[in-house]
Amino acid sequence: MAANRRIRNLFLAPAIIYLLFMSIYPLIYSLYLSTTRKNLSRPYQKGFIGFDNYSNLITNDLFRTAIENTIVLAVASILIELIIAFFIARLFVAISDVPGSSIIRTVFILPMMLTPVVSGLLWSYILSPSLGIANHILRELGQAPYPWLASSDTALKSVIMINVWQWSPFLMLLMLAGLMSIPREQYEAAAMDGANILQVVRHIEMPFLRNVVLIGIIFRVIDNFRLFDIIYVTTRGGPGSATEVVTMYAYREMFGFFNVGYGSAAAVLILIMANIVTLVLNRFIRGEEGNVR
Amino acid sequence: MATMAIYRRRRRMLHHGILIALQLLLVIIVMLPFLWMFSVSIKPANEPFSIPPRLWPENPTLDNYESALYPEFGRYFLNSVIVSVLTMILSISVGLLAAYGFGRFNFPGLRALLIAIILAQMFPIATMIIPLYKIMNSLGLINTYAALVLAYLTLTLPVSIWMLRGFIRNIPPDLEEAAMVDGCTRLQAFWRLVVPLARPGIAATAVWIAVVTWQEFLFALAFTTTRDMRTISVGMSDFQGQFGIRYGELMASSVMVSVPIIVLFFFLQRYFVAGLTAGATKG
Repeated sequence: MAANRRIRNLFLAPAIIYLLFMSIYPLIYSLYLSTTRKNLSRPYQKGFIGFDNYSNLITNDLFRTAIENTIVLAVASILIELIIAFFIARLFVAISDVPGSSIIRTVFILPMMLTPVVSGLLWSYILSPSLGIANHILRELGQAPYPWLASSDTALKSVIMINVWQWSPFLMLLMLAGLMSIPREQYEAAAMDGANILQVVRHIEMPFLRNVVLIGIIFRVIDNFRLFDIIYVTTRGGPGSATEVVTMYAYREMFGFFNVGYGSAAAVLILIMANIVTLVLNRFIRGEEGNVR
Repeated sequence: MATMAIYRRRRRMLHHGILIALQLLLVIIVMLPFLWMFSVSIKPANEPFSIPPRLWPENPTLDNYESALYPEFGRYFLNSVIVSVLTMILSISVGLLAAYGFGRFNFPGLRALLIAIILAQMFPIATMIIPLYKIMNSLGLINTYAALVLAYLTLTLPVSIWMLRGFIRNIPPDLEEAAMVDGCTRLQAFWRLVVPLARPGIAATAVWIAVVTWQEFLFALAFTTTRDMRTISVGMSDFQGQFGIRYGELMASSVMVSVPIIVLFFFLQRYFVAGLTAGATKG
């Protein structure tokens, strides 16, 4: 047994040591920073201030907007992505025996492979109010041009659209794999019983997809809470504070104003938010598989 | 009976036809931005500004590619390749060992440790920069490939462990046990049996790492100080300023940045899909 433990530690050691130094230590250091008034442009201003940064954040209007926007962005994006992903995955299952469907699938996954900086640049050009192709198409269809990223009423919706375009494929892939693992007999049995499509979705596919989807949602929540590149390239949080999100806020505090203490506190709050969501969702997963493990 | 069967087959074909048409329509919608990117990239210099915009250039040209391919672009590209490959090698070797440790041995705190690894992932990259900068600076690594590789490992290693663990748990342990009865050590059994069998998982993880490192922006921006060390994504955001609104060049370089990862993905996608779900369902 003792020898076994030594062997096990040997396997785990490189990863654990690395993560201790490069992931856990930075995390603890950020927690520490978040309780100080440290500012890089004022090297002698240090000092522990407890939870002051946090209480200042919570009373700050811009930060509240950032929290709101982050939640709206995450919830709306993930809901829309789930619907689109399920619809497309379901279609793929229906035509899975048609030759060439795997090529179509590859095409669907392309947006996910695009570097976010590039997709941000591409979309800001497409959505540009006067030069953009999007408004040109709208005009051709006899519609009024849409302000997209340029107006504070529509900017967040536009960012959500870009986000959905880029990341629906991720959930689609997960759901597709989940759907493909459903034994054929289950469908046949349902057909025998005269179940309609909605009943099949509700009673066969949903339960099968449950865990995969929950894990997909966890990944997407984390990604959305950390979303930065697309917003940095397209709007930088504007116009006004229309697309201000927590990461953008933390970034600006840290690298614009060098308020690393205050900025770290903002980031720690994202971490806490992401943790809560993950732990809650994770409970649902375990409830399902508890007897297996 | 025969007519029934034919009737049913016809109905199925019609049904399939509608579904395929629907799917193709969706493909076109998803592809439109890509087509636009490509179309602008082959437009002569004045056309991106024509009002109304033209869907397809009248006089397609490769000029934009030529002017986007100035020497720095090649350098950025090379930097990205080097950093991606090094990250891949390290992440997969360390990740495989850990995945085996987590997958084959049961011990108290295993689940807590696995969750801790994922939780560390949730920290916004922007916040990791300051502590990591401090570490890199004290190691004298700022503006080196090593700094980028070490920073990228914080992003790739946890997920590599998760994905590879899913694959390793699918490999029956009997093989190794038999080998060890025959006098192999655990490490030999791991190297000779588990690693070759985990190859699809390794491929899946490699694709994923390539995508992440190719896309990464903030670490690359923070840990490189000179132009010749920049990666392609930072270089791209530079183009925005450098080319002003010369969309032709911008889109030409976008195409060139995207092609390698798309090609890689195209060839390895079936592993990727398997990897994603093995990691996700064997939690």
